[in-house]
Amino acid sequence: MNTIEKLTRMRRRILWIVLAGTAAATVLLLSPIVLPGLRTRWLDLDRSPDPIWYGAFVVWALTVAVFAVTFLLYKRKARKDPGSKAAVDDERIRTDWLRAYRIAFLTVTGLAVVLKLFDVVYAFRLIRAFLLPDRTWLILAGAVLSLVGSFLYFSRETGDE
Amino acid sequence: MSEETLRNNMKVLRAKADLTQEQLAERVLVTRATINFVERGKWVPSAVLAMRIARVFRVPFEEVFYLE
Repeated sequence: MNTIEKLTRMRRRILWIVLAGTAAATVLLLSPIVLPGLRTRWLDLDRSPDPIWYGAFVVWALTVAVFAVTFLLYKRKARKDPGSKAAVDDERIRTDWLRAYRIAFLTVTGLAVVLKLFDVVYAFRLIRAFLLPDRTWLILAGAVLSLVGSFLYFSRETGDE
Repeated sequence: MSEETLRNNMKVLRAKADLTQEQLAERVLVTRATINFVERGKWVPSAVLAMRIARVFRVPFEEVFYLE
């Protein structure tokens, strides 16, 4: 197996660690809210801290630590062989990352909208709060501004006709 | 106009040159998976990569890639 394959496998392993760790931490974080919510048909978002949340924090911290160490090892290995480093980030991989960023952008924006609507339904007597300039509006404004702004920047025409 | 796709003879040429996907990938500086994607027509390579692949086989570009 050549260095390109070794680095590719190493990166794949790192990404699986991040995915599994984040998924586990998210499950631990949400389970004290969602599981009772399924029984009572009510999501108690103002509940007191749950011991499980400390577990979620430990899993998350471990994930970050393992990621940091393995990513440093990966970078060190890649630096030793610049040719393989370039090959590991070939044109298909870069496009795959761009597609992944697009999905992540849509997910985050969609999630912000859903949570905002959930806020309104959950506390619908405070419907006026919908219009308050809170964090969600800031995230949505940031999303629209960065999306449109960067598109206009990348598609600008320079030089002579 | 009907939609055309880029096809290739990479598998045949690779067999003739006695190269594995991994060896070809190393020669053109991409991952083995990318060669696999290109070979199966699942990824359209850039002009630069397509030229590099043709150069490895020592044949004109059109002998490796064609529109269908």
